[in-house]
Amino acid sequence: MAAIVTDQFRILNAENFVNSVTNTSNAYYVFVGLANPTASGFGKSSTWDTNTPSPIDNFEYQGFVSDNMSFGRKVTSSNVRRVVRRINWVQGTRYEMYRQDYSINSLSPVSKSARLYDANYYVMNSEFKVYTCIDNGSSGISTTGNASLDEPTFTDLEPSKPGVSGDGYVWKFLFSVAPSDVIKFDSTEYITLPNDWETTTNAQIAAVRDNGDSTVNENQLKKIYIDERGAGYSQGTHELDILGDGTGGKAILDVDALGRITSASVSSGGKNYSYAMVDLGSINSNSTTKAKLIPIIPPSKGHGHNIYHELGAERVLLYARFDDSTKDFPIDTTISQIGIVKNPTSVGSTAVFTDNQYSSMGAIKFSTTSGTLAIGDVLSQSVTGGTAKGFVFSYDTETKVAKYVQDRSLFLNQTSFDQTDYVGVTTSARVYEFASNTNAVTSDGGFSGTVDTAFTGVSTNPTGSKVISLGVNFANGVATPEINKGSGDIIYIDNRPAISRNSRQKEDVKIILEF
Amino acid sequence: MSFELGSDPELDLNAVLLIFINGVIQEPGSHYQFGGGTSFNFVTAPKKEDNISVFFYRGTRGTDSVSVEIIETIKEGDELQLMQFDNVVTQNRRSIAGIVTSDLVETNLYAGQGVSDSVSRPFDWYKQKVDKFINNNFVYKTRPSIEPHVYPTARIIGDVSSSTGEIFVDNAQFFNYEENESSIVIDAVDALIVNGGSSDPVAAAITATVGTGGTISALTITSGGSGYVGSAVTISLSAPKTIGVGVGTTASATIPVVNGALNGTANITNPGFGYNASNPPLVLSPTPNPTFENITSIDIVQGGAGIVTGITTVIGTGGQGTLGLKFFLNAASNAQYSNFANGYPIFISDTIVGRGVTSINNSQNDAVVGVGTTFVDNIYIVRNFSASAANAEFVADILSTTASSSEIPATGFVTCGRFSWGRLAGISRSSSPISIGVTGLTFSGLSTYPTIQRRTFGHRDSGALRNDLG
Repeated sequence: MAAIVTDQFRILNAENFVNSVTNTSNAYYVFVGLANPTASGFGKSSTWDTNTPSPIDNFEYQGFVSDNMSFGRKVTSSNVRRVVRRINWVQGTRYEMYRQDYSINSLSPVSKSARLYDANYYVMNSEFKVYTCIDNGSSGISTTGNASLDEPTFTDLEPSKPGVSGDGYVWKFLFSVAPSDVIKFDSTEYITLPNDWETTTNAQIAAVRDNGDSTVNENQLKKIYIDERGAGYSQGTHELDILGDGTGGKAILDVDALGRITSASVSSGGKNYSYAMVDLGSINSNSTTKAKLIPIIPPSKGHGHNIYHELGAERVLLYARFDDSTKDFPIDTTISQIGIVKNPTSVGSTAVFTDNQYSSMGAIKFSTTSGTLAIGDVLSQSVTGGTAKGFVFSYDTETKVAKYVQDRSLFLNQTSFDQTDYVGVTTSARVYEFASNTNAVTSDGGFSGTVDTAFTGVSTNPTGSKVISLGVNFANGVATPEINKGSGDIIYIDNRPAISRNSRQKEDVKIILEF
Repeated sequence: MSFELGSDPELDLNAVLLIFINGVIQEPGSHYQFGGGTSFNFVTAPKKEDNISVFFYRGTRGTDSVSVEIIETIKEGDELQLMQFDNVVTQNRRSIAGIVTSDLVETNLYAGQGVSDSVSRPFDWYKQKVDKFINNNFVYKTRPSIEPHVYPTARIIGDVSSSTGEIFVDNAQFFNYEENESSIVIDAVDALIVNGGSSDPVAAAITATVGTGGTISALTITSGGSGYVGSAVTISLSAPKTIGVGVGTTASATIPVVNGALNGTANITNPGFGYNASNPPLVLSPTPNPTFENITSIDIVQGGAGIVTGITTVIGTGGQGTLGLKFFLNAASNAQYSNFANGYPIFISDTIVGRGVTSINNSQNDAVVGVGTTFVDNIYIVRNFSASAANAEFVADILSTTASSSEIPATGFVTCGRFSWGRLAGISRSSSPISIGVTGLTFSGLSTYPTIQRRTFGHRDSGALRNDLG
């Protein structure tokens, strides 16, 4: 009964998720929906905006979410990133140095963290550059180190001092957040890491990564921590071997007149160390107090070789922008649910839908109309066998296209919105599709329209001057959703106060997943 | 909400709190006990239907009291397990029943193994994975930390000087979401401006050659990259295997920038030594930093949107011989034109007439505002604006060579385009304000225009929309 799941397992899960998203045989979409959350109905609430109900994790609720799904945006490889907790460099702050041995028995000295990834050992500067703290001036005498005075701004391959204040800090540059990633992924809580660190050919990342490969460059060790400086050691400057399970490491020590080790630096980093100790045998014959020097073992093969392990990338951020760039994203609708669905299938098929965006609403193009349609109105049409019903989620007066969903709220018992029997259940509980016929489509708000049965295709030209793409294919005036309802795995649901869309409004959605 | 005291021992929360039940003031110590935190202990339990009002005197905000947005980690419904330490055995898991203060939680009553009140111990934290029923309340497994962040974002459509206190955008209403949709009052928000980002700079690839003596003899540019600025870039080389006096030093060099790429002969400022020809050092060529600015205290958010119902050519505001376009607008209400004024930029899209016009600013010597490419979609400077209820009209000056009345008939349509405008003002600039020029750009949509995204207000103080409007 002494087993743990390591932090590396969580990092692996995050990596696997990113790989799954970027795998071209998969298709992940951020979707939005539920345009009428305050209406009466299954899963809805009149106080939705002020007391938003929590989503329920069961198949029934996922069905309800599918019922009300409006449209989705594909998450491409450029829209998914691993992220880590954001630590901004702020002058005067005491940061911690990277160490391999933080634990409940050896808490980090400033934040008192029991694990490396909770310690404040890396920073992002004001230019979106990220650094690991190799040295903060700490030692066994001053375990918390110094306040950082000089902002690191350099872009070097080797760990460097950031300025001339003498604050004792040495930082290792890791990467710069790309400008295109700043708007997409920047948040006050997280730092965005580049994708494909291990394999990318980006020259800047490759240089940092390959420079951190100590098996090639023999530059693994960067820092020796003086936990106990000892006494009685041979005075002078000495270059000594670094022993352990690696090879090639050498340290340069300065010993003062009292035989105390006053400084220790790495002159040769060596390789393959998982533990190390400095060979003091040649200078300790007269030592009266034993020194304790701790060579810091970098993550992976060296600092910068694998930033996911170095920084603890156990979270993933997905980004999606909904704007007015396509008629699939109507600007007159309302959003009160956001989610992620994996591998929905194309309507009428079992093949995974792979387009950049989809509409999951049905659509009717009218030839003539009277009255107005509002979001949440109930559309009805007599069709063979009964009456088709749907909630209006959008109506474009320019193209005369109404988009609707056939939510279960229209078909369950209209008082309890559950399976309680009711008068007329035989006809009213049956789901019929809207049809291309001459029967009027009416709404409970007084609208009436005739289906444009002559219209087939994906684009229209209502003014004769400009072709407008409708986003979905119409057949004789009606269009089905582009994905099969209920298809795919809904892996994330959020209920939120309604967001009314409008022209030029951009909803930049950033979803954090924790592993 | 949790009330917590500072370090001053003379502070007394009861002195700054007033609690009423059904309008009757409650006496601290007699009717209720409160020592800070998230709950009050009443001597007699209030009824469910009682109306309880709590007033807290904050004094001078920022001096006598501060409100702190707590970034939640542990939540009600999570489980804690105190672990073995100093011969005290591991406890069974407990469910968190409440967050008492920012550093204190309440769990279910526990009478199992491993109880000790004298040994501080580590604990394991398990996030809630199923919905629970705790203290007669449903506690769902939803977590604020994983709720999506929906950020109000806009494109900047007017020049931004380093001293300006206003920024014009294509749509600003979303920045005021909570105020528009609820009774929440937004005093001010911050924002992040990012210029560029439509195409990232590409780092140059460079290889080093180690000559005799272990020094750098040459640097070869295998790919010049793009997006570099200035006349030269200082590159970084990795250190030789061993560093020390008489053993090795790190080389340094600069490389010229030509048309945004590294090109030409490297200036090796320090050839270093101690390098190995069979394993030459790696070379890093830093790319330019993103151009951005964090602006604060946006306390004026204005804007509107609607449809264009008509477009026609008119004489420009420069008089005879100049050309303008007159736009007729319609919106849901006249509120969409509130504070709209001559001289503001406006974004016109989805038009269906014309063939690309160049808009100009008559008050700036006909400086080009935007070079349109599709119909009359463009950014225009508003002149002769007037509004009547939901309708409005304005004139925009254009280059006379880019439009003709035959292409832009005087008759309008029900919908022949869309308009939107936005203004963020009252802004405090950062200590390093940036300047952004957008006038004169070729306009083919706004994807290459600078972006501004809300910060500081909202969900977890991130700038994202609040996830509750109650």
